Amino acid sequence: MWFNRIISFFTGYVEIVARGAQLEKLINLLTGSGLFLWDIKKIAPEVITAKLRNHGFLMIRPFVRKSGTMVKIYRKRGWPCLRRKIIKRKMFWFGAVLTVGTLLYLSTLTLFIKVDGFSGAEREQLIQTLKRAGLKPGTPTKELFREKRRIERDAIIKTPEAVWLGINFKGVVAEVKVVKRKNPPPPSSGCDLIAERDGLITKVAVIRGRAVVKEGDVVARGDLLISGRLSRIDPETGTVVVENIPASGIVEARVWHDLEVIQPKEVWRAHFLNKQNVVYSIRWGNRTRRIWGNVNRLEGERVWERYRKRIFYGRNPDRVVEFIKDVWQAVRWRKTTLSLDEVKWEALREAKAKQIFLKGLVNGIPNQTWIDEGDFIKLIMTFEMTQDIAMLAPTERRINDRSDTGEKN
Amino acid sequence: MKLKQSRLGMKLAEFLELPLDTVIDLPKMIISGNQQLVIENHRGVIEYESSVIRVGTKLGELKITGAGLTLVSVYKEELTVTGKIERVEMVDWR
Repeated sequence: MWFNRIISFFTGYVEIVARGAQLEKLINLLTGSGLFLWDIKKIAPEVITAKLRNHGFLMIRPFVRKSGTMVKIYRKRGWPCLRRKIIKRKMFWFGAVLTVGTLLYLSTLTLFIKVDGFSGAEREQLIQTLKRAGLKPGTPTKELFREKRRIERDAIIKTPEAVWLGINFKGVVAEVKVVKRKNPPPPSSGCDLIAERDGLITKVAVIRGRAVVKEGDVVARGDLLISGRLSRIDPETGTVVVENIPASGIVEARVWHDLEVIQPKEVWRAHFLNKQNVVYSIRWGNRTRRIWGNVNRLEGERVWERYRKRIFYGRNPDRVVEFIKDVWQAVRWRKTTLSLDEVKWEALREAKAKQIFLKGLVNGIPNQTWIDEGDFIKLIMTFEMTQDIAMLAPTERRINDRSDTGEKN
Repeated sequence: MKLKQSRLGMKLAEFLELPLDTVIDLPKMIISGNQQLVIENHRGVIEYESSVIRVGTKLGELKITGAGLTLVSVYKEELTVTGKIERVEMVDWR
């Protein structure tokens, strides 16, 4: 029945009012001739309203005459009638286009951020972190999609409470899934905090235990920072009692990290000959179809470069549609000796690419050391960072180590 | 003659276990609660009021009594009545 009503809407229908003594006869004659009547209502004695398709209305005259009733159109309904009404209304069309345009535009934006895994203050803090990383309501989804990995990386670095973070875009919602870090329960046996690496202590905050170092001390890897061995005098017996407790606290220190880059002085370089072969193709999901160009036109040594232009970003990154331009260029490889400036520039460029992972952690400008090693030049960049260097170590093992080596701490 | 044919058809349908409404056009009624009644194989509307609808069938007359009765759709073969159905009577059925 709904199907018939939908068809009737598109073909157009009329609401009729029929008056007369033999309304039932009219209904039977109309339905008997194959016409479809619906929503028949008796609104008064000898008066009914009914709905009838447009083309059916043109055929009812003989039946109306035969039944001795009088039929009038009460209202015209359906798409043809609606179209005639709205086609002249310019403001309506303007509004409709504006609404559709606005909806289309809004559908390209990320409007909501849904965080799954964190709650309360942690959730709010994560949202602020994401905002600073670039994920905020009102940003185009396409832009965020390109920056997804960077945002995820930045957010995970700045959220120590999270062990994993992933962003998924669903329509106008950015779903952020976080896995909370589960800290192991505090050890029940005695533990010390020792230095994880060499450094200069800048801050000592003891939660449990006794501080062995102070600000300004220089420590080496493995040095005791906070001791878990506490001694006290028993008020009843008057003897010294040694207790082993799990030490806890934060020991921040200035530490140095070296980044090494080795750059050869002689390199093989491609000298481009004036011969190139360009092939255009289109990729749709896993299928690639060549549009223009011959792949095997060039012979000999050649280099290949690929340029891509995505024309459809689907939700699934593997199902994109993109234009691909492949360029093969004929080359001749030559061994070239680089000048010192060129070697240094190449080394710095490589170091810059590597140090992206230290972004936000480094204090000040890194120190550069250049070492000439014959055919190579070595660059050592020393970065200074401030970090918590405290690391747990069982007290008993440390005591045994000290007793073996005769160390007194 | 017609009666003989229908009796023969009924016996054949019973023997072959075929539905009677398809073989000899017996009226078929489907009532959904007291809200809707669908009648298949009807022979036309005899009377239509908002409290009473009388529909002709091959076997006799079907009288539907209730309140706010509406003919939601009327086809040649099928008729749908909605409203508050209180009583369905088979009047003078053979």
